[in-house]
Amino acid sequence: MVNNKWHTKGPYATRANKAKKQAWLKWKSDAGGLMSEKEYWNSQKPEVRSLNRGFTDLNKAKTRTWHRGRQEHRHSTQVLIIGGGATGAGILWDLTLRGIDAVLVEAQELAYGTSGRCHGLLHSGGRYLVKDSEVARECYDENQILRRVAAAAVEDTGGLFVYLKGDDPDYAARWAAAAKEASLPYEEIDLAEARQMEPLLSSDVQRVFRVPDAAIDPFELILMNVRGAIERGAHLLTGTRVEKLLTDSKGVRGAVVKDMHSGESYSIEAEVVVNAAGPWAGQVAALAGINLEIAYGKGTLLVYSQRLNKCVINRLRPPGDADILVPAKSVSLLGTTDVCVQTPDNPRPSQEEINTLLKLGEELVPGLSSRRVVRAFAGVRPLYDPGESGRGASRGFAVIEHEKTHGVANFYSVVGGKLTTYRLMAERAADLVAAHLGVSAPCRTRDIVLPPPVDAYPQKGKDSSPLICECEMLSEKELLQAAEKLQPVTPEALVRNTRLAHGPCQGTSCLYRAALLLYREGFLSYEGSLEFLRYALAGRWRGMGAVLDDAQAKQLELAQGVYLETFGLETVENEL
Amino acid sequence: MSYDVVIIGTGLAGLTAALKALEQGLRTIVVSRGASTLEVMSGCIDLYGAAEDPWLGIGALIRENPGHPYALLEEENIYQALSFFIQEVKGICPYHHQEGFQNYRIPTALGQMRTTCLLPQGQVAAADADEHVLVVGFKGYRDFCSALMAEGMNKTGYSWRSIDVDLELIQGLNKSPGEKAGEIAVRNCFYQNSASVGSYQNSIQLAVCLERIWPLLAEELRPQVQDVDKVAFPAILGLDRYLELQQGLEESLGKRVFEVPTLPPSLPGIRLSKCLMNRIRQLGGDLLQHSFVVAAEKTGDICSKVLVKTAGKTREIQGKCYILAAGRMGGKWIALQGEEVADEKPGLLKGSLNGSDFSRRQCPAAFPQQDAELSMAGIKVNKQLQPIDTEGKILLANVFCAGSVLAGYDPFSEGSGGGVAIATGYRAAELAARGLRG
Repeated sequence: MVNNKWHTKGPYATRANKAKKQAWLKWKSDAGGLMSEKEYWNSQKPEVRSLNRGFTDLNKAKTRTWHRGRQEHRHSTQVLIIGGGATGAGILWDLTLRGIDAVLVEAQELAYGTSGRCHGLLHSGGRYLVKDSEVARECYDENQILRRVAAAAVEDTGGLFVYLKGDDPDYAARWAAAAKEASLPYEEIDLAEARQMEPLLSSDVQRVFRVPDAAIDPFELILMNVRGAIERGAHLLTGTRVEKLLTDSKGVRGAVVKDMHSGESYSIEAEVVVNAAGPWAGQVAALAGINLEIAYGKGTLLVYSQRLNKCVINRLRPPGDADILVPAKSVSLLGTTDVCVQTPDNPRPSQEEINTLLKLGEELVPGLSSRRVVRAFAGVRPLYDPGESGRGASRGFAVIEHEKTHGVANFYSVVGGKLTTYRLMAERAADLVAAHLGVSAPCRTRDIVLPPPVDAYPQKGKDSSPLICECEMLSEKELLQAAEKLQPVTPEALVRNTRLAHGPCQGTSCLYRAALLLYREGFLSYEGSLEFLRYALAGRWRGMGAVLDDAQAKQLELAQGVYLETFGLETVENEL
Repeated sequence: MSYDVVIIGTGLAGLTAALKALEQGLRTIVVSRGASTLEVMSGCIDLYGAAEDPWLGIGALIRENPGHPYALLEEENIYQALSFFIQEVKGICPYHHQEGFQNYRIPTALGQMRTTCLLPQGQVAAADADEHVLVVGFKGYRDFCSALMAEGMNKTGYSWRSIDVDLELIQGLNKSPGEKAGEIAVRNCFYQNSASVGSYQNSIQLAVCLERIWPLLAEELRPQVQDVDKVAFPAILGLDRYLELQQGLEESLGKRVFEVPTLPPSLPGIRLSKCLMNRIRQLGGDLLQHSFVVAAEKTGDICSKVLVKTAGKTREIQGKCYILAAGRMGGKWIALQGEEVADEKPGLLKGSLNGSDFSRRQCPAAFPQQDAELSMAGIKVNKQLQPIDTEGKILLANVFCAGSVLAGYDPFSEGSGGGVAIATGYRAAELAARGLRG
């Protein structure tokens, strides 16, 4: 479903059209009404078509395994970006628009780290208003920009800040005052209206403020940035890990990378290296002998089996656990927690965190603890704030020019920050890099609309191909198109970008069907199909394993019965 | 309503228990919330392990793993239970086994091999997988890919071929035998509304359709099967008339035919559950489906009655004893006698078997005997299959547990689901009868 932003029919049509309309309206007001709606959309189209060609070329060597075939190695570039999260993708797009040649290397796959494990909330800034009005302002500005340039990934849900009986009334008052002072468009609405908007809200709600929060799909957002950049000549190398930074007396001049698929190591020479590795930024900096203190704050989120709310619901109190409920496509996400962890690798939700989420979630929306949770997942926030950690740490970001701080030239690190401000982080980093390279082209990411993540599908009503995933209404045609467009086609990327296996059954029937279909259509080899199943199931079962209550426990038992018993699938890493 | 034994759950364990109870002349009722779990299982019954001889593994379990359900029984009990099961389904839904209940090795839809102990009629030809097999798939059927299965088998040294049959084509070109003009009109009307074979997406629908058109299928396949030993199909060869269908295909093709189980709903499972349920009715047992236990009353350590929510009203069912075979999560029925609940309604074991009134937060406390992992979770019982607490005290003396409600085993990694269900179901009914006789 994810990719269907151009539908005029089907279950997501209304929301998709709304986003489209909104993008246009925004554009119109910014452009002073110089373009008609039709002209605007026509102006978007040729870009889409030409993008198509770019991707077809990448896919020319259609392989019969799930991982791409040999990736074309690059041996030199102007800028080497490390990290395929929102920040890295944003920098790639930004630099490319300035005419700078850039290569992005990602050890795993796009959105593997923090970007892919968050709420998907496009903050209005309200959350940071009291503590740091500057961050709040940044958030608001970025919110407005992204609604325009990344409309295809944004759903304008709107948001509410709700003050519950028993919470600190002083905080609510300070919040309201800060909102006024910051002159951000937050308005108090009456309870009846709020209840009409969100009938599930607790009866303890006493004050409600409406804010321009929105839901944003981080996977789409990253794909859009990368796609736009690739179309303009940038390069993406996923499954490519940086092993070593090449240095000489003048500073960093490239990196030795390892193709994780073929196991081959080679070097990429670059005039500038940008470290955007998120929680792994410390490890990358260490390759240049630099000590970068990153604190890791693990946050756990619960995914509900259905969409429970229309707007983002924030609890009006100092940021704490389980105080945001975000609607995301067909589900709702409740989060988060904040637990200091020692390593950014493999964060897992703990039972304790899940219990906390359910307990506090119940206060915000009664009944939340007994609704069906399909899975839980955890992400790690990279916090850069020497001296502070956890929620006390600033959510601000820093672009570090290591030549000034550590005497290592040609090397920059982008640390901290949040999804909402990824574009601004990218802009600041790209400004420094461009200045360093002597490029005077200004940042254009504020104005240029990103291409949609994949091409428009035929209208839903005309797509008569059978459904692969009944939970998420994903048809065979849609799955195949996604497989065709995604580069590379990894199980995780496919699952994330099509919402395959995202419904209540978590892939019990659709993963098998998808594997058969992809095999039949030549995307997967026999071994690739089994590997796809094992890999995708392990991921789903891991998420379900954390929330085994009644319905989901039965679901897991059914899935295990089908795959382990009926199909005799041997799981190499049955992580349950 | 008053019974000698009230059985909760219509999985393999509950149904076996019911048949055994009826055999012993007990007045029996089976209560279940939904359809039988069998309807989503493959129809094969696994006994234990991946080795050729399951009994070595079971023997070792009995000796060394006292927490395992098999260790509550003797090998003799298991043997008897399996024989009993085969006897009960004979004729209607025949099951096959090897000498001494050794394991079969059968191919799966993913082209892997697996072991199992009892095979239904439809799958028995799969047992000694042959060099040359033709795998037949159906165009547009999402749940089976003949080429994938064949390639998987060929990786292990066989030489299998695959073919996909277009059912619409063979139907459109031919009139099936005995079909009346009116039926054709109805059929055409039904299928013309969709553009593709998408109309066959439901396995059950396809199975019923095949009962009618299999002669066309046989005709289509006959030229293809000259050089093969056997022909494999996804497990959708008929619903009620499947024996007839299989026999017809075998005669018409001159080759042995077998089915390969795929995604639920599973036809082999549906046939088995139908057969068992019919047998229960035939023997005078009662079946109360789509009903679930919402509460139970207990006096001392004796459960005196259960409240069952049925369509329209809540009924009270009194049983002299109870067999709890309600699956992995069924344990909450027992577990819900925690203090919190007891205070609320003294004397009641509140909580439905699958119910929504069971709050998630109670879960950890409500499963005092569970292991950390779901696969091992369940109720601990003594040798009499009565639920016990951590100190070994009997919680309910007239309740016997069977099947996956029991703690201490992982049906999927061990390959022991079906065997434990039949053996403990059978044993629970024996113990219940013994208890009643006094």
